[in-house]
Amino acid sequence: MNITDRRRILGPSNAKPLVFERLESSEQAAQPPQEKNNENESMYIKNGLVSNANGSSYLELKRGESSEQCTILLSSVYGPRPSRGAFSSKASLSVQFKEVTIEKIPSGELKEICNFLSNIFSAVINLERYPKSGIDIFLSLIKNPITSDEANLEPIIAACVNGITLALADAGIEIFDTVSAGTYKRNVVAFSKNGTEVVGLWKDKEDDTANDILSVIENCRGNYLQNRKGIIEYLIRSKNADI
Amino acid sequence: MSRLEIYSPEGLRVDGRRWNELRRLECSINTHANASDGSSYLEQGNNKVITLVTGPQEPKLRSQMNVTKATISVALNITRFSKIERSKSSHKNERRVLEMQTALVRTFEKNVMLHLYPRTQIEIQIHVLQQDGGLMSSLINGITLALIDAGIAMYDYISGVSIGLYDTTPLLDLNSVEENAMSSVTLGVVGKSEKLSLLLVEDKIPLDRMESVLAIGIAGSHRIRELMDKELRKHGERRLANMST
Amino acid sequence: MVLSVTEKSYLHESLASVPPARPDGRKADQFRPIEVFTDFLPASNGSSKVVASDGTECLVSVKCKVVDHAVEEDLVVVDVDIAGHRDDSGFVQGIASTLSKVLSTQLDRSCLRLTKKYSFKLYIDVLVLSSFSHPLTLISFAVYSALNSTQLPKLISSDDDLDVAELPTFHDYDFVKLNVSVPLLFTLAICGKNVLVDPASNESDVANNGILVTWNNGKATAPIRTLGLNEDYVSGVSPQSLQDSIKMIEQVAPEVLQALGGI
Repeated sequence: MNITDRRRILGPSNAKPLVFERLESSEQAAQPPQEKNNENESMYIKNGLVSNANGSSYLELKRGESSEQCTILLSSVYGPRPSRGAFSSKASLSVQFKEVTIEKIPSGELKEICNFLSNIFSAVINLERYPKSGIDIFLSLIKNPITSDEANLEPIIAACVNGITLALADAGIEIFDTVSAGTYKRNVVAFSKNGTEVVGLWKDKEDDTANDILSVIENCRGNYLQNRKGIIEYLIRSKNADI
Repeated sequence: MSRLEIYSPEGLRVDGRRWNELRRLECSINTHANASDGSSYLEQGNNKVITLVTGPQEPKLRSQMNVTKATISVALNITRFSKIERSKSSHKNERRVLEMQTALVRTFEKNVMLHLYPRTQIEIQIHVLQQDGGLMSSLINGITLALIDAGIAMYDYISGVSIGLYDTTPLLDLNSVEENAMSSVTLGVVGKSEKLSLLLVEDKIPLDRMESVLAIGIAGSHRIRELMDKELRKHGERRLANMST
Repeated sequence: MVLSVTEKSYLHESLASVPPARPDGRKADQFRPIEVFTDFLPASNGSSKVVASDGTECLVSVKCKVVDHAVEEDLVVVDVDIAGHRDDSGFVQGIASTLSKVLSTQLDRSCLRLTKKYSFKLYIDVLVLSSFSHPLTLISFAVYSALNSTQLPKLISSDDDLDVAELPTFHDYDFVKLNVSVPLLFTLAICGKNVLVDPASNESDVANNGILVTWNNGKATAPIRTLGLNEDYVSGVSPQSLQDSIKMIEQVAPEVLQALGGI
């Protein structure tokens, strides 16, 4: 960033950023990424694959052993980049699907998912930190688990939430918490604050859990904690590998 | 099915009117007081039109601003369900609709005192809930009423009507069956005068018949103006009574 | 109306206080008054207009067509047009998609069945003339009253036409009322620990989150999901609030249905 900002008083030109010593204790966190959980689900993460994006994440979710039941999602974050037009005191956020390989999903439903995701991340990103700017998130669904009847949206939504969090972390955009989603039957719940707060709830299909939303949330929380653990472990490991 | 008799030898049309009779016209203004600055609801036969006027207000885009006078914009929304058969397209950005919008803007540009509202925009939104021939004339009447409700200065009423020519007989205020069967003209008449602010001829009309067509059209428009004026005055009295109590 | 930062903060505090102080003096579970008109479009099979007290207005037309149900998969088509929003905007498409999914999955197809071969296909067109708050609740009320006022042509030919190749014929003027249970969609706002039903535009601007709850056949059903009402105040909510909102809908929905049914 070598652009002079004439509206603000900047520090001296020879200023150096603060560098802290690495904490010794974080080294022990290295663990195999493909940890199995109770639903026999495994997650493979790789950040920073898209070189021209500010941050990106590649997420592979496997359910069971077969490669058929696999969700692959690439999320990339562009921004914060300056937005034109009227002044805004906070960043504007947009979430879009760039490519959907499986055309089975109608565009209206994709729009619904985008609205849902941008609502979640409006709550989580510190948008006040980036005035006059825009943050654009693009999602590419590379592989969708093949189901016989109709597109099963729930695992896709959960993958999107986890993928965007990783990409935001990779882009270095301030977030209040590592938000992550957990699924249970046909429900998706995105949590923050260690599972005490719900930032997003998606329940589209009727199942036997209709009247007891609290138990649904409780069941999703277990899955959430596991997903979040995977995300944080990956982030710490890649951080350690960098230094 | 036998062919419909558009105009019987006894001088009756398909819906039982005579050649110089208008359809039922009912209108009311200030129907959407919370949603707009001026609004009207007009029923002309089976045409049902809602018109909303917002403004004069600051233009949304700088490019729409004129330093000497107000700009008028018309957005015409013909709903999919407006005809008996539901239409597949939403009619937006359709050539015919865009042409109608421009024609309406041109009709009213000369009649509204635009110089009184420099640097502003007057937005007219029209929703056609149902149409049955002579749509353009209903739109004109609806806009006139809504502009009056919005309190925007105008020189006079503009009242519209469509006239068809069946063989040699001019027929006033066509419905859709008649409109499809003959060539027609739409007029926009300024107030009680014989001035036209719109003359829309979309197909062939013999020139020597034009005079009789225009004559009945102007007479019909004057009648429509009277009907609208009566309703407006009634509305005004009602409002005054409400205010004083 | 655009509120200043201070006004918003004041409003948020009052809505989050216990009990909530709503700017229009409503209780947490109280709706705004609405006016409903039905059956005013003779060219449609059913129509309704719902006007809320803030000027939000929604028109719905229901038209029908006879189709071969072996060929046509979708018997319910929903089209949403919101004045002031582009048709391809996320807002309009999201609402249209939610509505059409709810209506096409939850309306009973057997009610549309005409003969063994043919069914009615319903075209539900929604036109929102002006919207100040999230229009989904109002749209759903309008769809409900439109479908309940829908009259379908009366069949006079035999309903067993699998072997005979004949098109269904209808009575010249008699109609049959469409009898179908229609789901209702409610939007609620969550402010602090409070759950507010039917949020007005200024309340939506300061809500921590919105939630959509569907009500059909006497119980809250899917879709239930969080819904963005604004961008400034959106934050996480406690699981308890989500349960509270569903409980609130369980309380008010029967009364709403009764009120709408009386029209």
